[in-house]
Amino acid sequence: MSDKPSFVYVTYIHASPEQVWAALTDPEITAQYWVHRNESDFQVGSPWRHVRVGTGQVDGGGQVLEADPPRRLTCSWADLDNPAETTSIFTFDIEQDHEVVKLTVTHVDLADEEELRDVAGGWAKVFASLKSLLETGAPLSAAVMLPG
Amino acid sequence: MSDNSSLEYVTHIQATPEQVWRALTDPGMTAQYWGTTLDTDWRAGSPMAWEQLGVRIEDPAQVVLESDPHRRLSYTWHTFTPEFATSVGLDQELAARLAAERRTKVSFDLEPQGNTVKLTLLHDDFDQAGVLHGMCSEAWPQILAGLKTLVEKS
Repeated sequence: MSDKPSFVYVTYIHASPEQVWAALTDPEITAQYWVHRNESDFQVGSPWRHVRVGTGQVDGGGQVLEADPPRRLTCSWADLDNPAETTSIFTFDIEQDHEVVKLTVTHVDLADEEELRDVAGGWAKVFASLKSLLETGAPLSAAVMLPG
Repeated sequence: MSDNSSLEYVTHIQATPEQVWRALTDPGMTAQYWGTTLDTDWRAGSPMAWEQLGVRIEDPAQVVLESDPHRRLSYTWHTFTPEFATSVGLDQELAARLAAERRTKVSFDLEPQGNTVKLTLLHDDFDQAGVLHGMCSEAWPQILAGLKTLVEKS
């Protein structure tokens, strides 16, 4: 059993599982609420890249480990300087729960408490922005998503 | 990380701190996303009566701990009365366990960030070996997702 930190975050969204899946995997949609394009064909074994809108800077990426649309997506997050080195793994679970979708991210094998704090803050923003976009048409502002 | 004495949940809401504060304290709003109303004048030290599913819960230990409008709110959790247990369909064993656990407290911090509010919930003082922590871990994401939906819709 890994003794590295892990993080779980849940939200509920008024949308269909298909809409939530598209919002996580379509770079045109992730660009709107995540200020990054998630670029991949999201087939198992394919690479994926997390590319910052505007600058085109690659802020991360890794490999698609599991893809079961519109229910489950697991990706590795790799070291940019050493792509063969997986640093952590995250899974999205999408479940219909009455009239809403329960969206869970489980992020495991985090390096340390500092990375845990960073990803905890990051996922809360990303899911809040995704929920706002799908429910109201307006994501959180880029200034909130990319402070500083 | 196996510390079950507290739980934290953060979300970001496109609203003003005043709107989020109102959503936390106005019975007409809490009823909509939580099915709960909190009857109090929201002054530190004031008693609070909870009402869920038509059951009113009163106890002198249910009090407002801190009230700094639009910034920070804290209060003690409600007592698990037999009437409450019946109304939400808890079996007798679970009801007895909940009633025996120590009283918990919640706090909400509201921080403006651009045109949004960062809302941080801290629910604290759980019995480490108790069942309430797990129940609240399931419930808070649902409750606060409902709050966000309601506030952003209005």
